[in-house]
Amino acid sequence: MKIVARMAGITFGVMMLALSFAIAAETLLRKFFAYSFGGIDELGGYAVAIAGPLAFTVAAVEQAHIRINLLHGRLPEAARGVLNVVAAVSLALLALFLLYFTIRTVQDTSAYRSIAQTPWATPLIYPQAVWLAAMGVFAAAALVLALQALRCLARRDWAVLDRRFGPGSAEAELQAELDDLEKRREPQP
Amino acid sequence: MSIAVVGLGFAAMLLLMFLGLPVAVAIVAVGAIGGWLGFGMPLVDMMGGVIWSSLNSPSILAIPLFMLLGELMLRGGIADRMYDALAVWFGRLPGGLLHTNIATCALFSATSGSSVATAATVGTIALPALEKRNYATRASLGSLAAGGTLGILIPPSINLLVYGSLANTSVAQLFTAGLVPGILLALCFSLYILAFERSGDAEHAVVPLAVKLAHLRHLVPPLVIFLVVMGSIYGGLATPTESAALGVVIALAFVAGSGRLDLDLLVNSAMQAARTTGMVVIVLTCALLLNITISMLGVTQAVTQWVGSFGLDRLTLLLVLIVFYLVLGAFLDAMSMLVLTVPIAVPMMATVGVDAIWFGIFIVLMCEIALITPPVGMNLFVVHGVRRDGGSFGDVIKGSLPYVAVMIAFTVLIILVPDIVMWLPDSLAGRR
Repeated sequence: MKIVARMAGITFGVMMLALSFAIAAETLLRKFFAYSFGGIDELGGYAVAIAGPLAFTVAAVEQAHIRINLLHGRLPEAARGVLNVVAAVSLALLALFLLYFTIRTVQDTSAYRSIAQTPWATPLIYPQAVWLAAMGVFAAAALVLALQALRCLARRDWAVLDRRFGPGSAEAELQAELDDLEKRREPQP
Repeated sequence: MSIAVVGLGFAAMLLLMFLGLPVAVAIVAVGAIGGWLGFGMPLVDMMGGVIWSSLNSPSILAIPLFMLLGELMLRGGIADRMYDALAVWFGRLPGGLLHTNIATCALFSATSGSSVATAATVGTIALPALEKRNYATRASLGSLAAGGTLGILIPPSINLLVYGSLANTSVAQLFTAGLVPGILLALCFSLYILAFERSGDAEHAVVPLAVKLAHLRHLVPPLVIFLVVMGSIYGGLATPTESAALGVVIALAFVAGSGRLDLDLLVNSAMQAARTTGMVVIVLTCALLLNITISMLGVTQAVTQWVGSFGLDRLTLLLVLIVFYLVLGAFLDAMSMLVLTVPIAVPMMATVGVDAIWFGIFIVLMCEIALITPPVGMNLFVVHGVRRDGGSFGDVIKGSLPYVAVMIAFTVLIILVPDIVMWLPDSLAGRR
């Protein structure tokens, strides 16, 4: 799953970096040379619609989806484990819910041959097909995580359920930041 | 729709959240089930179009771009050297390094966008210096925790972007409105330190002006990026999304210039930006889905009528809201609190003449308080986590409480003098 998250994160980063350069160039050309490529806004909209589910995937694998650790943290290990499984399964259900509506939207677009109301008049099926693929990646990743959590529950492996499926703790996030800081403060070669 | 049913739905959502379910799941479960109970499948079916239109939006695009900008500045080391630069300038003031904490945290969190990264970086660099110069532990920890909250008010702010999407208001105006209160609140923190926190050995060694000026070079990259990003928005040259893109390109140039740009840094920045974007945007998308149910079921009207039946004026209503948010913020994280309450609170407050831009700043101040109120205040945990002296968690709480009081007093001030918030956006828009 780490590899899936890494690929999703890198794709997200490449899209956002490319988009940054395109938008920055468009902004400067428009302001200083009264020239516009046209359509960068539209492209940006499609890019973020596709990058969104990829980002959801990274957050799911890295236990970063926001969870409130108020009662949960005070429960006994087994109860925490069960709730962690419920959380993983519920996230998978949410991903499937989003995937279902994505499929419905793409079906409608295909049936009505919808085009964007923009100068490019893009047939929406193209960006939405990629959006569907990205949502598929998120749903598949969330489903695999839920199955892994259920397998841990069947084995009563509470420690793994806590570590891999608990709410991402502030301590773990902080430790990652401290490690990165240490690396940054090493003298440059 | 009766107010009892609305209360039941809200309570059900909170219960699901407190059980540790992902916040996005809790929101969409109540939204979809509520919609299905009220109108059957046709309402649930409407949600498909909303998912596409809410994700495919330029205002949402600003979120990942600002996240990426923050990550590049952080991982590229641009933000790290601010502390040293500010310490030589503030060191001789009463409470010297505590001002440095506030100023560095404000600048750092405004640029990095992450409370955890702010506390980790500034805390790690600051705490040994504070201990060496005998600053009181509680005062040191409190200034770090409170300083870290300033980033969500001082633009560019992800919380203001999310508010703008939910309340359908101009992000550019929100960013303009956040600047003066953000700087004033930082000054209020410093005034509190000047008045009440005089621990620590004063820096007697006079730092030569040449050295001080040399340190200023560390502030150049963050200030250039801030000026380009915010200047282009304030000057009407770029939208918030375009300014974020400009910021990313300039940050990359600075990182490349410092010789730190490599594949590892880019991948690390992309992963972190994807991670934080994922956690924010999924909650926002689910909140927009919940909005369909809220508007179709007439929840806002029900709550507005119910609140209206008490006959409260603007001032009293806002004071009641402060108490409400203090309680809610003690148990919910800031982003959840924002997405849960904005769709109902904004139209409700409009009926008593509260401007949506002004209310955005009010609610982000409430989010800032939520970051340092126990038991779940995120900044309290991270500042405590940076400590190496093994002290109690109570130290961070007690150190932060005076800043909670300062923030509440500041909130009351902007209620009494709304122009603190509205002067800049109104002036730039030519409304005064």
